[in-house]
Amino acid sequence: MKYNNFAKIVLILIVTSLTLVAYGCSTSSKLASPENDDLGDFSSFTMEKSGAVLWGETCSRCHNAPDPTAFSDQQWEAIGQHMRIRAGLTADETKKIVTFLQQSN
Amino acid sequence: MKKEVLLYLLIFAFSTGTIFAQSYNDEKKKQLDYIKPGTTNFLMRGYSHAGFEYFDGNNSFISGTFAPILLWQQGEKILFESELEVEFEGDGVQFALEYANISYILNDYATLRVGNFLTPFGAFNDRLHPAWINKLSTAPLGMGHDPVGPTSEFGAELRGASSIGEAKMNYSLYLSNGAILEVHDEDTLKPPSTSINGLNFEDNNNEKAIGGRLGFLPFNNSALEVGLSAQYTSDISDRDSEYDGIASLNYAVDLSYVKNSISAIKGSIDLKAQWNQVNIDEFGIVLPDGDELIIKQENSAYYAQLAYRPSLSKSTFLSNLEFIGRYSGIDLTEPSEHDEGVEPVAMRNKNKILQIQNLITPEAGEEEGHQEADRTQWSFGVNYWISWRSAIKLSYQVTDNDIESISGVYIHYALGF
Repeated sequence: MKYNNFAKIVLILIVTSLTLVAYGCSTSSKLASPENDDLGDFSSFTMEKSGAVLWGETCSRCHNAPDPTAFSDQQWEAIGQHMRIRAGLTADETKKIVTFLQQSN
Repeated sequence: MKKEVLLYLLIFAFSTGTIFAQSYNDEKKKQLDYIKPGTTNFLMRGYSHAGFEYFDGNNSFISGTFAPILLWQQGEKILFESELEVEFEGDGVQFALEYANISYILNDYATLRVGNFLTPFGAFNDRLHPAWINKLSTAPLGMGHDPVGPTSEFGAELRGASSIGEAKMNYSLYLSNGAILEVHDEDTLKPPSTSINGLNFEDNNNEKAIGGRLGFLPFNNSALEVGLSAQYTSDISDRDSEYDGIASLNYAVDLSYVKNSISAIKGSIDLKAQWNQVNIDEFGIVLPDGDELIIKQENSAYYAQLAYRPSLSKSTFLSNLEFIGRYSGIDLTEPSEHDEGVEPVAMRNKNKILQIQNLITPEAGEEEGHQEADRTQWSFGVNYWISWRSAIKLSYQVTDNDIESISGVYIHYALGF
């Protein structure tokens, strides 16, 4: 009973992980492949994500992306610092997201 | 003469204008000074829920939790955070301090946190438990008020995050007082019982718990996160007790996959899963009749949850709906064959009891005890999002053990603030 359930959940996790990894690899290789464009060697070129994109991707890992108008500039500073510590955001992500929220409220 | 008068008039006019302008500016400056932010930033956030519940044949309106989260930011490096939890319990109001800690940001990659903090053991307890974030009205089995695994620590923690090329990782490493093994044998007429208590604010021995969590996000869109957590304590027994060197090893695996705006399914999906395992060294308790009872706990809890929101639907009503399904379970150590009358019983005593009690009740049969302990649960829910942080949550839940099924219906209004 105990190990049956454990085996089930591990199996579900493995299958799901493999599916997601396969899906993720297929989409990222299309985007990263230099053969997909005629603009030369872009191997040294890195595209940075905007605060708006990071806001959509990062916040929704746990909850709905917040409405920028919900808080003031100063409040977003505290919330950004709190989320950086609590949810494991990088310093760069946090800075961009907070700037986006402050510019959009 | 006329020229002089005109000159005086002009000087008077200019000086009066300057004086008025000066006083206007001073007044505005005072107003601006009043609202100037300063370097201290206080903010109260939090969450609440209320609603109606039907469970096992009984129904009731409930006024749920009021959980304010207090944040004090001092400059760019220091943050104090604390969460209180106020709720009706029994005949009165229960007031609890969930956590209170101080963080100091050392650099872009590391933050030092000291005090009482939620254990980074899996993701549900640390990130997903607030009512407006948890998509269903109840917590998964073994992750809420009957937790399998640690929920909060008194200690010091180093945590941070970093990019690794296209991928990202986050980490936490901490030292804490760990848990307390409690042996209740005050009543000599009754056999002793044991429990694991997380409220170890004055360490019961000199052995510290070491633990942490490593989260890995392999895709550059942060959609997938896989986390590994562990905690080890070489001794959880009291320094003066007869029990010595009882170690505890706990570990957890969590997974999150969130993908927004998938055109093929006209919406977003959110997959969450977690598995907790708790192992405590074998130890013996002497029963009143002189026999020794051997207790060895190996308990686990797990859940997998999938949510779908048709966020790309043209209908506003449909785009605000979210459909959720969850399977969860809790497996507890079964009594050993020679330990008749010993049965594991799940405790529902807030977050304070980490784990499961082994209550020794000779009157109760093993079958009855076992049915209360090992359970599986299916939950299905529909949420309507009124705003990004408030939702009406309707859910149906069936909990099974070896003997019976117990169903429940929950209608909650959850609000984050």
